[in-house]
Amino acid sequence: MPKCTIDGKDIEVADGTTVIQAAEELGIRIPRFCWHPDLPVDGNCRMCLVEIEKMPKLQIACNTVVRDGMVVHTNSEKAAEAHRTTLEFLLINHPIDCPVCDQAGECYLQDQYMGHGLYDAKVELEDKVHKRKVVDLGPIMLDAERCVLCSRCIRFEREVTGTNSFAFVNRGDHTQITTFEERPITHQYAGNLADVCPVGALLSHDFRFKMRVWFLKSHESVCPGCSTGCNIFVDERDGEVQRLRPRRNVDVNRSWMCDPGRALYKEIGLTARITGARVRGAASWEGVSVEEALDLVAQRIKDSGPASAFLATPQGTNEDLFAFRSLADAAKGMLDFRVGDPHLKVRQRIDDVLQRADRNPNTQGCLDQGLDRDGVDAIVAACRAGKIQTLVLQGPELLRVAEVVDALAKVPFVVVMATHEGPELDRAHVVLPAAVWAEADGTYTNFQRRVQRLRGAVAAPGEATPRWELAAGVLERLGEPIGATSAREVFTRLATSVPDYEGLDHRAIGAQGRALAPAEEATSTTQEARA
Amino acid sequence: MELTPDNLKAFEEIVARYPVKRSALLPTLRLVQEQEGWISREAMEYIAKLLDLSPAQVKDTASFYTMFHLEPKGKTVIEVCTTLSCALGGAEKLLGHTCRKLGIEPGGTTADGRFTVKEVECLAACGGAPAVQVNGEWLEHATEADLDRVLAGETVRRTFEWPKSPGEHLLFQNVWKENSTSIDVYKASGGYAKLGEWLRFEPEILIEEVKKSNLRGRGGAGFPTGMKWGFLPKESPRPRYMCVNADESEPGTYKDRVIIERDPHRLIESIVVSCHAIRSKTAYIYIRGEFHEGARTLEKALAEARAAGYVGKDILGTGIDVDIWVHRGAGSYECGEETALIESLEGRRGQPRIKPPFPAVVGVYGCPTIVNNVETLVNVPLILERGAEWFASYGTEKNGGPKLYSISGHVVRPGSYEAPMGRITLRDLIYGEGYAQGIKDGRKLKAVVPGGSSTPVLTADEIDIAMDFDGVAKAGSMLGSAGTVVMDDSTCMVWMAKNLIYFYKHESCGKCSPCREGTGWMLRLLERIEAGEAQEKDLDLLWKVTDSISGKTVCPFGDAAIAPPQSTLQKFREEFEYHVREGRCWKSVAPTFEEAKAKSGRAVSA
Repeated sequence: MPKCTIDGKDIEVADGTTVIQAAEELGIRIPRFCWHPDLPVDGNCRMCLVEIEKMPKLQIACNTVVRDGMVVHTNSEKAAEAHRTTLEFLLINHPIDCPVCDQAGECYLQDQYMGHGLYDAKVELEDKVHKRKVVDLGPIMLDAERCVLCSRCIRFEREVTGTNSFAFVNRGDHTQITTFEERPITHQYAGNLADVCPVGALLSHDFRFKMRVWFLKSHESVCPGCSTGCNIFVDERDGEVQRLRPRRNVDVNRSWMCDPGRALYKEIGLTARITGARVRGAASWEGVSVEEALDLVAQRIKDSGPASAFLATPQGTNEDLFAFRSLADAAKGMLDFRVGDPHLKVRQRIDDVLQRADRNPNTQGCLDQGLDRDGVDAIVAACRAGKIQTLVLQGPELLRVAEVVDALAKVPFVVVMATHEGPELDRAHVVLPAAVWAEADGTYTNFQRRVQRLRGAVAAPGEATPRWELAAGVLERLGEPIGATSAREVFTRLATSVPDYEGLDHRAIGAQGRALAPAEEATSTTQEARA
Repeated sequence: MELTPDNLKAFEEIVARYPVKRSALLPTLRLVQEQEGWISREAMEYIAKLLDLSPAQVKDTASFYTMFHLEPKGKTVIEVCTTLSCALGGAEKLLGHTCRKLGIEPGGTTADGRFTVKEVECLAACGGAPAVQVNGEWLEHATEADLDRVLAGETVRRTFEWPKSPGEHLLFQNVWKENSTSIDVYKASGGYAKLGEWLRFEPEILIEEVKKSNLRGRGGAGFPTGMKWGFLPKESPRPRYMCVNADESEPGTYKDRVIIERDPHRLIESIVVSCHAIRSKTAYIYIRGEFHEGARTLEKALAEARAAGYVGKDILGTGIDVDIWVHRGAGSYECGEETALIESLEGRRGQPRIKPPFPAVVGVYGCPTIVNNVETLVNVPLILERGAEWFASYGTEKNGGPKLYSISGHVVRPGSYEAPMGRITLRDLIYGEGYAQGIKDGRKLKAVVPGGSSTPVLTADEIDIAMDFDGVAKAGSMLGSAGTVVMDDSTCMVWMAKNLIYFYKHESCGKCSPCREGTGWMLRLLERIEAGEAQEKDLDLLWKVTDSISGKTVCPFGDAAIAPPQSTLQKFREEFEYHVREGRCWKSVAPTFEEAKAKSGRAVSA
């Protein structure tokens, strides 16, 4: 474990740690373009030059391994001068079109110019090398003039997706990045190309000209798109989600997320959302307050007793599931969660990068809480046999299954918690408005049995309420209050009753999640499949 | 587009030479270009399928190298070298004449598709300036009359006639013999005679002998060869590779070419014994793409050596296997840098790798690799034959062995000469009766680039120095690859710096920011200065740009590129200032700077 000193601060690091990594640990950001923590080192931009005592030349921090006793200066006169001149070189052929560039506000050129540049321009600007601009590559827009040729996109395609659709052409100061014949990017990880690009050369087509990034507020969360549970940021402005971005977690998704996951923010929007409770009247739906609806539901559950059945959803958070299970237990009704394909695909990959076959974020949480109890088939059979008086659905999935329509028709009272409108809701008797994942605090347990937090980023529309709160409302009316007024408190209750979750709470889970006792066959997610 | 059955067979043979398929990319591109005349989009997609690559990867590599034509070219391709020695020999006039006659710009193709004329960078034919290649065949000392004949459809070839060196010939002993490339001539001179004996030595003994000899690498850096070999990891299960650097491209340097074109078996035997010393079973000769004749000569010699059992499996019954393959480059100076050479050999852009790791630990295909220059290797048999002590004492202290010196530019008898290292001075080389015989046309010496374009220029007063690594270093320059370019007093030093910066800008691989952007910036500044459009502060800016590149690039290219502007600014600043002050080049005023200065002095006083 070598010890070194960086800008007067001492640190002991693991063998093989590079100077740039050690500096990160100390909170010192050495300027860089080409270095990325999850891509192989390339050393081409020469931005991270630092002065190391007893070494005659400046060294690149990204490829210099810390040796015991090393004394590093990241901002000495020599190093600062190198940062200035490297920036000046990179800006020679750059168009400096920040006012019309979407990257403005999260651009390394801008940031580092403010931090390390601020020189008087010495370049005469009239004879820049001209390259291709506004090239539509499908999900990505390319502007080759803004590119600093750091090769992050090329390395991403080589090392992460293995697609190799990005490459350089030509050489010297005529080098450009491009796809072959400017063909569109067809893989499902294109959004990451815009993320890894440190400048405005690769931009998201979806986010193009939408918003200046400094208006956005970021919230730590977890993607609900599949059982991988990629860590993300939810970026919103004034309560409206504008984009999702990967949040680095080396144990789960490194710095990446898939495009289908990235697109999920679009479902949060207000159109087609269910914003209030309703009950079926004699002729049509009648709007009621959530309180009234819960009164009705509680009464029916009380009346039905063991003739009630509960179907949880793996889309729910652990807190949702815990409250829902508590409700089923209080009613002594049947309980399960599986809908559709009965096989547990929680760990099955559908590509070599991140995506898994199980499109639910919390199947593992359902299993951990023992929600695979009575079997969906048994519940459906009981419905069909007329043995179920009240059926409570935590999500609308079952209503969409054509094969069980006849069985559901036999149940006199079907309650569904739903987020969005859909024709299937007409098969229910009460619709309770539920908040979506980005509107509530909570936790998911991913395929590795890693418990991860998501935080409410935006307010739910109308009276939409987190599912755990809906269940808690019924419990309250049944005289068995859950004893919690927040997702955090629900989790604390959960932790006392679910094996392996003991002693955990939201704070202990933190930003990077907490791995539970190893699940069988669980492996790290990102790249080992090709390794 | 598909390869013909014969070419497909050739392709399969090529792929079999490499442990990794992508290595066949450069040869396959060449094969397709030979068949189709150029490399189309369809061809790139076809090659991508053949080699399990993406089309983008194929184009990435193909577009890096100047010899691959991604657009249709003429039936006859005329390539005119315009780098320093050839430019001193009138290349620009020759190029202008040819283009004017055809009515095209450099790089253009005639409308009837008969001719393409390209301006190319140093062809390692500096003695034969101005040098031209017509469809890859040498036309050295080319004249306007020669090119008129080429344009008339005639086949005109001319290869430089290597002048004899004075004194003892060790490396060059066969060069002037009849049929010097044949195995019989080589064997008659004692070649291959001791190979079996050497292969029976323990490799460590051979390495020890090379270490003791003080052999220093002849590629430019002068690094001790034995020490380099000693860096190979002792315990590694991976195979080891030898890469022979035959990418001779440093402007002013044309010495390896003599060995390759005139005495290929000397190189082959040297490779076999060196491979044994480093326990390598495979060597790739990375030869620059423009050495068409050299590659043919080597292939023919290798076939002879294989047939005679000197190359291949169980050489001379010793149980030692050494395979040697010729791998041709495709037009890129940077591929002479050892890690860029390795990248190029692997079928990628010729861009350097960051070090560490060093090639001796992680080289080609991730395996321990030694990259040695042609001239370095041909010294190895000499060391084994005559002993390390003899070698170390032949030459000067710490600069053992014979040395090949190339000299070109404004001299009477340009050529590549052999002499004991450091036993001749730069003055001897320029003025010696046995060497270049002085300045052409009785003019005055003005400046000398002593060791290839990357070495700082010396003035006429700085030539009394021993031509070895330490002697030239003492004068503030470098022996480099010992490619000396001589300039007389008619040469404008601003023009000279601009000519070389044009070369470096053209050859910058583009990987790292300071070199990629800085070479272009220096060129723009020098163009402005030469045209008389610059201001005094531009001279300081030029200096500052060189300073900003210095020591900050991935490979030594950056430091090489700044040598011409830095050293000319230091030693000939007066000429730069003249351009700024007078708003023009002094050459438009008088044939020498001294005369121009005198004139402007009169103008000022009057």
